[in-house]
Amino acid sequence: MAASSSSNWVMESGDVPHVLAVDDNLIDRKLVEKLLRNSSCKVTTAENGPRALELLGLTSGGQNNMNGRSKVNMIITDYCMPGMTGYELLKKIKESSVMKEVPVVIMSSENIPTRINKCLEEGAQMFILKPLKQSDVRKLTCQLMN
Amino acid sequence: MRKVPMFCGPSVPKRRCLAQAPKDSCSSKCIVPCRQLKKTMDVGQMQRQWIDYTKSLFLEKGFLDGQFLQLQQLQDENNPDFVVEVVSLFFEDSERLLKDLTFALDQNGVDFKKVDAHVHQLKGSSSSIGAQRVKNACIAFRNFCEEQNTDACLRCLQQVKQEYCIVKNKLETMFRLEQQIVAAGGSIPTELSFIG
Repeated sequence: MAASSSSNWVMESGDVPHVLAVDDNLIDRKLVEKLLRNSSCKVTTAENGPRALELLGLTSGGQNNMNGRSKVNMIITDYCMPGMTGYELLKKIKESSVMKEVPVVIMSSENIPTRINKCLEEGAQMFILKPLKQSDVRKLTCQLMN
Repeated sequence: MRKVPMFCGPSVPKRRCLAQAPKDSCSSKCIVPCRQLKKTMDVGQMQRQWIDYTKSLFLEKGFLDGQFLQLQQLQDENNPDFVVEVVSLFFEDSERLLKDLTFALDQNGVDFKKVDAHVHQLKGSSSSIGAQRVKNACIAFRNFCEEQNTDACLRCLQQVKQEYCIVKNKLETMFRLEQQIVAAGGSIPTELSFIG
């Protein structure tokens, strides 16, 4: 298979999924991290959009190479964050030729249909309502492994 | 809270045991089986006490909701202190936010966007740990932020502080009961089927 952006997220069997979780709330970060670890994922957390982009190797001025960027199989981000919202982060990821195939999941405590549609239209894999439960995360990771 | 009773045995002088209830007192001729039995009874009593207490937190007045159960289910041998850790983070975070809210509402020109941002955070974390009444108080608070009503916001802040103090006391009591059970060699009941 020729190297393509899709190879960034397709997992080989036996691989542990690596998820980047982005949330400005400390308690939520701890919770999502535990939920993901319980579903056998490797987890990296970031407290805001810019930090997430940095970890993904997408900061402006950075080249389109993979040096120092660990392969991330999924990104899960809160919607409401100061500075860069989860929606804005989603857009930046989808604009990147390197990362656009990586599934992005948006979480929010607010059930606002226009918000949900906006995110799905922009290419979000899924929209999950907070607070997160184990069943939510299990559903996600099952999808990821298939 | 009563302390965990001392073991009674032949070496202990003739006196009443420090028992949970007067009827539990042994005679001075305690023998090992009695001690074991006494230990089991105490753990059993403590476990029942913990169940009753936890039950009241959920069913009476809804201090906690199902999300707290989610947290408890995440606790395992690899993370035996998960609930205490997350709740402790919640306490620290909340106290900081409440302080910031007090400060923000004390200003001459109240920045309601900032106030709302703090309440949003508190609503989020209380929701995530299952502190239902704190979360609901935050929801009401946010409505008044939108209206830019300082007086109503101050009343809401009082309400949130009150609910926070109550749930903090309740959780700390629960953790103390758990420590006592574990110290007496028992384990925390995992069956909380009384929650709908």
